[in-house]
Amino acid sequence: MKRERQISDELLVKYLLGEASETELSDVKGWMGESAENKDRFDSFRLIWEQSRLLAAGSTIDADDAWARFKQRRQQPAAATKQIPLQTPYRWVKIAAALLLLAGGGWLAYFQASYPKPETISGVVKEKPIVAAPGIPKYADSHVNVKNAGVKTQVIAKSDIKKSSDEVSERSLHRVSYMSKKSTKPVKNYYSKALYSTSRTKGFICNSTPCPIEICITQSVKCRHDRSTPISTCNVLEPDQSGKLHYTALNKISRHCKATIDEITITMISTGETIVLNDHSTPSTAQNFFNHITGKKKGEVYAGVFHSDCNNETDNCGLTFDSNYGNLILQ
Amino acid sequence: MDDTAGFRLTNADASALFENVFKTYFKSLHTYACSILKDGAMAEEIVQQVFYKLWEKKEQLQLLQSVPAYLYRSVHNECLNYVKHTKVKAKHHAHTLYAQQEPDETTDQATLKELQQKIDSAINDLPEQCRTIFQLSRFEDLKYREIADRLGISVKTVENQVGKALRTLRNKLVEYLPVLFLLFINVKNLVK
Repeated sequence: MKRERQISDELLVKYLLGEASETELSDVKGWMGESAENKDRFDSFRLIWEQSRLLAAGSTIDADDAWARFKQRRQQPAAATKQIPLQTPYRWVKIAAALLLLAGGGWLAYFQASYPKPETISGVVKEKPIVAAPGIPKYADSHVNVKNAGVKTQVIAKSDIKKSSDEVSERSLHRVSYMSKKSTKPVKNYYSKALYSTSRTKGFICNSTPCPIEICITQSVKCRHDRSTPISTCNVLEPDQSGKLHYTALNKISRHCKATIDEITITMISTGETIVLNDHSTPSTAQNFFNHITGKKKGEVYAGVFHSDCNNETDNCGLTFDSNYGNLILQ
Repeated sequence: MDDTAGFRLTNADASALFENVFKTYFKSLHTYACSILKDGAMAEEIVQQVFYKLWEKKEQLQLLQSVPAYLYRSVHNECLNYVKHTKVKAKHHAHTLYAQQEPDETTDQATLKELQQKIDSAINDLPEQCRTIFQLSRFEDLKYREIADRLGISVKTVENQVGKALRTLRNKLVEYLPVLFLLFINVKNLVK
């Protein structure tokens, strides 16, 4: 019985897989000879092992072919490839909403990343049509602002180190002026450093894009004792275009740097109107939406229209998702 | 920002390294994804996606402690996300699909199928690292040492995890073991 106890499952498995040393080999053989029970135990492992191997579906894929396909994929333009008909007004907001969701995808990935180290997260919207519709965003309150900013439409997810309420709400107002100053030349993102990311692919579907919109996701990154640096990642969607949107959320870019998303700004190029969202946006729908984007809330959001029905800082503004237009889906 | 510059590979170096990594691990990752998804096309899509994301960060390839460990983990996570998502979708159509099922198999095949499902789902329930290690051992016939090197872990860990995997499977399948014994020959014949 003493010898029996010395044979662990690990050792049996080692033996089974041909990993056992000479000594272990003879130990196991001896042990198996001791009783039918022992032999059965070993056989049960052997059977399961062999079964699982038999069940395995091997890959017949050719790595070189796969590489060719990969190169093809790589060469596809980052922003949008499919054509989508222009239709209803007010739909451009859907794009904005989609982009906000996209930003949230990255953020969500950040929260779900299992590594405590700083890391980079990237999100891709692909293979689903993305369209926005003409219309004028009118929504604004103290945290969701609409503003004419020239000829650009942008979606900006701004991040910062802290998410204290006061800081955030202040920042949202700052954002608008930042937008009008910098919207034409966003800083590109050069921060992708760590690779331990839980990247996500988010599917977004929405309707027609009536005018070019530029989507910038701006985040503030603070490394060590340096001042925090705002970084923008921008994508432009031409009218009726849809497709991939790439951005890299800068969370955990390295162990010395930190970034958080606390604000999202949406602008439309033709009118220059801008919407700013943060986690203090007051209509519950706006708040809700933002939280989905940043990953505080999980699950799927089905959204049709991103309504912005006011242009001043009052409550009770409408930010609604209207399933009648039902084309914006965050998956 | 500047302190990261020293870590960067040149673009050409990074591209060459990346291509090498891609060709080395693609098939293996594809097999892994297939084992989870049972869908070769979707498995390739997911592995391609994982590589695409790595491509965007290729200058930092050398910063990874273990590239294959990163790749296996990413593929695993992406597959589970996909499975989770399709499960949600499937709920809507569950009754329809149920109605469409055709129970035209022989008893032996049905039992075998059930058994396969049991093993499959038991493997699916293994923790990520345990499953990956088991996978490398089971499908790719890698030695403990090779698995350890590939994943950047110790041989002892590999030994423990493979042991754990098989013990877990055995415990879960213990009630089916007699069936397993009976079917063993049949399965072998069927697979051949």
